[in-house]
Amino acid sequence: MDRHGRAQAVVVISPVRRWWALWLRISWPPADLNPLLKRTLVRLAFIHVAHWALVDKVPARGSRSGARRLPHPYLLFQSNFNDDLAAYIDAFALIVPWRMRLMWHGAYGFPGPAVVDRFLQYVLSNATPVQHYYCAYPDGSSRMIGQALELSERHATFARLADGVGDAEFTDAWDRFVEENQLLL
Amino acid sequence: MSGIGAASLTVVAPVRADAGASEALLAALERLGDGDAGPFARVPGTHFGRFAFIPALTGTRGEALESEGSFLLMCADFDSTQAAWTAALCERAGDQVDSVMGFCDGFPGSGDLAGVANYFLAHNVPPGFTVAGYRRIRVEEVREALRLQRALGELAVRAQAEGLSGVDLRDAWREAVGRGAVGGGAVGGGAVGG
Repeated sequence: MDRHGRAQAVVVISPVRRWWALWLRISWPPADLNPLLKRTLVRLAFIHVAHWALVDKVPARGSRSGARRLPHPYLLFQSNFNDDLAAYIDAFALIVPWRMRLMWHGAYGFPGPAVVDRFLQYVLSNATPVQHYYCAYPDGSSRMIGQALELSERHATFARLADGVGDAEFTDAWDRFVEENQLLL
Repeated sequence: MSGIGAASLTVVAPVRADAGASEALLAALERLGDGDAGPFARVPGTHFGRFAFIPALTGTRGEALESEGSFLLMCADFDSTQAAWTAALCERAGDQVDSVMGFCDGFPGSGDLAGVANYFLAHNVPPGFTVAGYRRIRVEEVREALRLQRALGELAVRAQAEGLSGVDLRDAWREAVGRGAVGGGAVGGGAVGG
């Protein structure tokens, strides 16, 4: 079961060329600290949290002698999102195509995001079914949560103001609060 | 970066090669039921958790590499440290964890807390790149923010429909938001230690 309420899970495991794994290992640390690279994906507001990782031996953190080397490095993508998988992948391909290339360009069989159907087929063919999935707030979409957190902060300001005014002023303050935050309610 | 929680785990564990182990593991995963019935729901502060059975890795042409064996993937994002979360998982959901992780090579069993912590640490694949949809925040704060949003939305509709104002409006607002939400809209706690 890859859904829990509004939340959905996806796992994609792709074999990648060794030089590409090296590129990812070098490029990820600065990229992960750069909010500009993530801003567009965050603004799409359908991701709760998504991780990309590389695994090339099992156990992944085992010693050279105690671990089994896999035949290729594997790019492991796992995401928690809302909406359906096809729409999710469509958005990746259409809105942030170069970021997708920066992740999967060196993966075997990666068709590129230019032809969305082919990219979707690639993702589906490398996706692993999720048998058990849990979300702590299944009723909340990523967009709802972002709005709720912003509303919560604005309401804290309103609440502090409301504590110090009379009933008539409270009514005016409430009306302003509702008007200013109607898109978050 | 860990994302919305304080930490995450992505455990890739090889499944035992015994005859029938994969089928039995799939049946055990099925028995975990839906999200609310499973082990991750029992550990406070868990944002997301999943188990995925990987029957075989793939090769360069998409062919299944059955000689490499099969794997169980366990992923979770949570509000505590890996050690604290692992201990809570074993203590609160040890039976369910054993029912699936018990099919993995070398898994020591939830009764051995230090052994499980070492096992998860050794098999953890740390994320290299993470995209988080919102800021780092505790599970209970997300739930409280959603509850507050719902309550304020309902109050806005009710206040307009009933023409509430003055003391009636203030009383309705206090009732809607509750004491815990006033002044912050968030409550603490709810995570295991760390």
